[in-house]
Order: sequence, then structure tokens, then C-alpha cells
Amino acid sequence: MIPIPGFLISLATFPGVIVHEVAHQLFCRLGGVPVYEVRYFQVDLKVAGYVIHAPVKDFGTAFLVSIGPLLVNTLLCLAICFPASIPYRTFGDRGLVTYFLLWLGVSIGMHAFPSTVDAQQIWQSARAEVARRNLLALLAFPFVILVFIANLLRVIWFDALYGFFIGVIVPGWILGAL
Amino acid sequence: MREVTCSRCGRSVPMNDSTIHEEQTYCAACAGELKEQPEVSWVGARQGVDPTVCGWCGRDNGSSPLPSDGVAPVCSDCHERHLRYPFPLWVQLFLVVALAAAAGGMVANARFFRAWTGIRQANREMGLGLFESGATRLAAAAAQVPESKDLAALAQLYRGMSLLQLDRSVEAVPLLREWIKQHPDDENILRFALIAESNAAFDARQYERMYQKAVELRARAPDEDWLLLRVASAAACQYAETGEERYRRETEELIRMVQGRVPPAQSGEVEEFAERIRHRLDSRQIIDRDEYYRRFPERQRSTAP
Repeated sequence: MIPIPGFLISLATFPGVIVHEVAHQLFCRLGGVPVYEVRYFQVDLKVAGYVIHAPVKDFGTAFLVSIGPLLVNTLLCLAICFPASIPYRTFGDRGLVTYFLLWLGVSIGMHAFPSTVDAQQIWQSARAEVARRNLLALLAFPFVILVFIANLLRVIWFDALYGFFIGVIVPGWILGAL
Repeated sequence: MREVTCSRCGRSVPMNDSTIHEEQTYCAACAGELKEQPEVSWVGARQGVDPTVCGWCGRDNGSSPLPSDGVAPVCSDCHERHLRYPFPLWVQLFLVVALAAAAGGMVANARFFRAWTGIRQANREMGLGLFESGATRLAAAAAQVPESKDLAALAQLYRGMSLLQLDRSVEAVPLLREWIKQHPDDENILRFALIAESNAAFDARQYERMYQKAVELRARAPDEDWLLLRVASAAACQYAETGEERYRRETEELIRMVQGRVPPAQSGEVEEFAERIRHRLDSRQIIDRDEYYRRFPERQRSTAP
């Protein structure tokens, strides 16, 4: 396994960082959550991007704001990689268009998982909500655990594997099922 | 804007410029002096917040307090701006370009999808036994992606299978053999190639070669009844050609073997094929299937090979 500094990975996959922050912002807007500042991308050793928003009182909205990137990045990864997956997998096409779409799509897909900070926010909200017998909060716990595990597994390129899986493998399954 | 009175000097200052510490309010100057005194603990001190002044833009709302957004008092304009925090133009353009790239990619790679659809349809047709249309469709698919050698080879294979089905074995042999050269472990196609070679030898009246190919085929699947009958057919041709008794014995032995174990559902077809083979033994004439049924139309009961 080759260790590569995180900021270099973020730099190489910057479209994913931008879409990740856009997704947070989008769900803030849909949920009526005030947003104070958005950094879509920055060359920084620790944080490649962020959204500063008001505290969210409703757990459902907080959950959606946190997992927004999982939905948006995954769908966008699928949409962008779709035109490249069959040429790449079935016909071994290595053309410029195919490579560009795969880079763009997989870059976006590999930033789909909420960050540890996002997960911590859901965890804390969920703990408070469980006391109020909120079923969604209860269901959120396994999800948050998965997000923590996914973040831990980034050292073995789990995020890239996820992006590849969504962008290259899933389109084949979809087409195969048609 | 609200003003508060400093607990220390009694001066009146804007609330936002005050510091609150242990329930006492201080102006900025007094707070600064107190902070420098080492015996005074300044832990827990906080900035005064004027609920009538927007914490984001500083707009004074007079004496009416503003609602808080959880962070600071907020005026309606700032609240609206925060709720509709804009997506910058470059971000919008980035997303448009990304989606346009996907759409453009779909157009640029459309030929691959046409080829892929063609392969699926061709495979379905081949599965239904429609070899000719399957082969035509796959050839069209291969033409969409001329750089794919695998697809070109597959198209040739399907063409070979189609020709074999159309009883044009001589043309089918090189196509099937080419596939075997590239895929030497493909036992199924090897068997089809041997069938085609055996048929081609029959068409060329090379009965010795026909017999050898049939025997080779049987060795690859000794329990298949139709392959046993194929050997019987070739041995019958050899008998008709050479008159050697051993071929006659082998023919009869193989027919008996198959008749003894063939399931009832296939016995009609087997019997019909056996009749054609026996005709060669009895007449020592070698005629093909079409000629046989032209001479003996009453004997045709099925589509047996």
C-alpha cells in the first residue's frame, strides 16, 4: 500500500470535494438551514472543504444534511461514469473521453462518504433523539458506525474502491438487468 | 441598539462592546484593565450580545430585539441570505460542465452501447437457434467497434456457426478453426469444428477423412448418442466405398448400441437416421439426406440430422 498525503488525493480528485460541499449546502437549503460560509475547495493539509451552517434542531434534517454527499456524489458518479463503464469494461476502450469520464465520476464517487465530523454530528444528535424515542435516530446508529468504518478504511483506499464500484461495476449491473 | 452601564466606571456603552463576567458588565476599557490584574480570574467571561443588532451585518433594529438563528441575532435580510446562500457561478458552471461531459460522453460512446445491445440481441438469437440472424447482428455490432479484436473473433465464430447450421460446412471450417486457434480450451466449439470438418469431408466425398473426424469427435464425448450415430454414418460410407466388412460390422454395432439405450422420446429420430445409414450398407450408395428423402419421401418422419 502506498501512503499518499490526503491533500494530494484531494487535489487530484477535487471535483469530488466540490460536489461533497455542494451536497451539504443543497440539503441545508432544502431543509431550511441557514448557511454562513462555504469553502468548496482549498489546498489545506487538514480540511479540503467545509460548510458552516446553523445548528439543526430537527434530527431528520440534520441526518439529511450529513448524508447529502452520499446521495448526491453517488448519483452523480453513476451518471458521469455510465457512458464510460461499458466501453471500459466490455470493450477495453482506453480513449480520452472514457478516461476523462472515469476520472471525473470516480473522483466524485470517492468523496461520497460523510466525513468523520459529519458522522460525529449525526452521532451526537442521534444520542439525544433516541431518548425521545425517535426511530430514525435509532436506525441512524448502524449507519454512523458504517461511516466511521468507511473513514477508517480510507487508508486502504476504500473511498476509491467505492467510487470505482459505483462508477464502473454498478452501471454494468443496471444494464444487465434491463 | 441597547446600551449598558459599566459596573466598574458607570459609563454607558453599546451592549455589543461590553464584557460580562460573574454577572457584572464591564466596558471595554475596564475589562482590559481587569484582565491585566493577575489576581482576577477571567474564566467564563463573555462578550455582550445586543439582541437588537444583527450579529451578521450590524444593522440596528432600534429597540426591538431580533430573532436568533442559534448563533447570533439575525435581521430578516441576513436570515434570508443565509437560507439562500448562493451557489457561486463557477460552481454552477462546474456542475453544468460535469453533466454536459456525461451527456457528451454518452454521444461520443454511443457506438459502444449500440454494439453492446447488438451483442445481447445476438446472444439471445443464438440461444434460440436463430444462428443466421444472430451472426448478422453480431457482425453489425463488431463493425461498430472495429478496434475490438475479441468482438471481431466472436463475430467470425457466430458466422461459422451460422454457416454450419446452413449446411455450408466447407465455409464454416476455417472460421471455427480460427476461434479454436485463439481459444484452444473451448471444447464446445472444437466439437462444432469437428462436425463441420466431418460434414465438409462428406461433401468432398473424402469418406476416410469423414470417418477420422467422426471418430475424433466420438473420443471427446463417448456417451453422446448422436456422435455414435455420426461414426456409424461415416463407417457406412467407408463400407459403401471400400466394401470392407469391418466397417459394416462397426456400423451395425453402433446402431444397436444407440437403439438399446436411447430414451423413448428420441427413438423415432434415431430410427429414421439409422434407416438412412442402413440404406448405405444395403445399397452401397452414398447419397445425402435431401436426395434420400427425395427418393423415399414416405420415410421422412422428423427433422433428424
